[in-house]
Amino acid sequence: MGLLTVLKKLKQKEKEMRILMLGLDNAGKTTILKRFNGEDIDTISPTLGFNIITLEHRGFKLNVWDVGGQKSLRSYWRNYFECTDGLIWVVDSADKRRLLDCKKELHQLLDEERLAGATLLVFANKQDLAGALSFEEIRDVLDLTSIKTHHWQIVGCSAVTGSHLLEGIDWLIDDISARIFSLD
Amino acid sequence: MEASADLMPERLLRRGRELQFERQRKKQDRELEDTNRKASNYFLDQFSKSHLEIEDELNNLASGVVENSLIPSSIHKISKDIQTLQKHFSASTMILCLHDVRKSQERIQMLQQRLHELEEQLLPKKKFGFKARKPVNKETVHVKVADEIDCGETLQKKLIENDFGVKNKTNESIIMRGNSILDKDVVLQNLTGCTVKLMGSPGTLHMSNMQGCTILSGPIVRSVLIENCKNCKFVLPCQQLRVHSSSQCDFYLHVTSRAIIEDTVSVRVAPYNWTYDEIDKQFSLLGWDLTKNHWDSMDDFNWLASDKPSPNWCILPESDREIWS
Repeated sequence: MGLLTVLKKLKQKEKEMRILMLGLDNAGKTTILKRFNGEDIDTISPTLGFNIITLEHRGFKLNVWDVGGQKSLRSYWRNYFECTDGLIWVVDSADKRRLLDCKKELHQLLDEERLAGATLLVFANKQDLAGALSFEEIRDVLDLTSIKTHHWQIVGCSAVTGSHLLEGIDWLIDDISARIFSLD
Repeated sequence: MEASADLMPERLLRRGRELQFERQRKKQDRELEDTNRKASNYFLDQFSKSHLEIEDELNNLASGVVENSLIPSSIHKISKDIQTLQKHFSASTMILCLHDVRKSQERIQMLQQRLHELEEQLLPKKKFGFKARKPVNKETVHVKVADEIDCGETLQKKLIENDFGVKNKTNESIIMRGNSILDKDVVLQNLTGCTVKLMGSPGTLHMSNMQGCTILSGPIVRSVLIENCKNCKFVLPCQQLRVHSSSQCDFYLHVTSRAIIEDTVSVRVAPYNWTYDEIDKQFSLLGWDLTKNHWDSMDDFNWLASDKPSPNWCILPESDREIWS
């Protein structure tokens, strides 16, 4: 039995997944996290450091890490890469001025060796705002179709209204579990 | 007596058997040694023969008898021969005495080294090939990068062409009211010495590259982002405030969460103190809890020590606070 098989067996027992949520500042990462957890989202401050919650969903245990997106924190992102099964990249669909920054940061992440095996879910957040770009537009601006190294999907959502959040998470869980748990 | 007479031959017999065993063992040892020696001699013979062959080939290479086009294949063959010799040697170390092991290993190493030297000397072609290809590669990469930047710039232009707000003005006074800015993403950019009054409730407010400006606003529904501003005064209520790379700015704030500064120095804060007609109505439309105002608790992302306050911001003394009209 190889080490990989042992690890897979161990994870299968717990049905545990480690999800890392990243994105530029003001993308709505913490709001998504709190919305999942049923917490108040009206008084969220910019994240200084990180938040972590554990969610039970469809019999899986999801450890979701939400790391602050301010410039000064981005260099610490790499400390959270290890053992990541799924990467959620959150985009402020209304912040057109910084979409190219957003694209650059995302593609840099995808070059990371320690994230090589992770599934990528892109949340085109803030779809409830009038000025938001559609998820198709976000897909094109971020050049997602060029990604060949990761399984990826983009979902337009709104953390404030809660729309399509579950849809995204369900796809992420399906893709990860197909990879980790069913290879016996 | 009889008993001892019986015993004697038995003892003699046992002794005889022992002697015989010993002789046999010695003979076997000798034979083993013999075969070992024979095998070892055989190995050394073969080794010398192969060694000589490889040396000949190396000499051929060094003397330049080998045709240029055949050099790579010749080098390849020699390297393989050396490998075979090494394998043969590794398999035979147990029958060799220490001296032979060391000696043979040395000789193999010498061969390898010589081959290596010859390879470097005779195949400069390969190196030259690399050098010739590199600049070509660089050029194509360069072209690609340029393309990407172009494409990025046009994309960026397209993305912000429908920006709503005020840009590139000096020493002007600008007022925007009510519905014209309601829930809009307002952008203020490249302003010097301007006063901007937003008498309404924008969705977000982005401000960058401003000097010596005064910005007053009604309640901003979501967030305010400030970048590269100097010597400015901001009078704003909002949910979130982020200030990047700015200095010498005063803030009169109503903020429902904690404001943050990053790469920013010399900030002073005071509570929000602007009123105009309809401001109460605009506030009540948002449904904020007006008793919650965190104007005096900023997070400095460049100051992570929790036991000492950040030196980059302070509270504006009451005597220095301005009254807005």
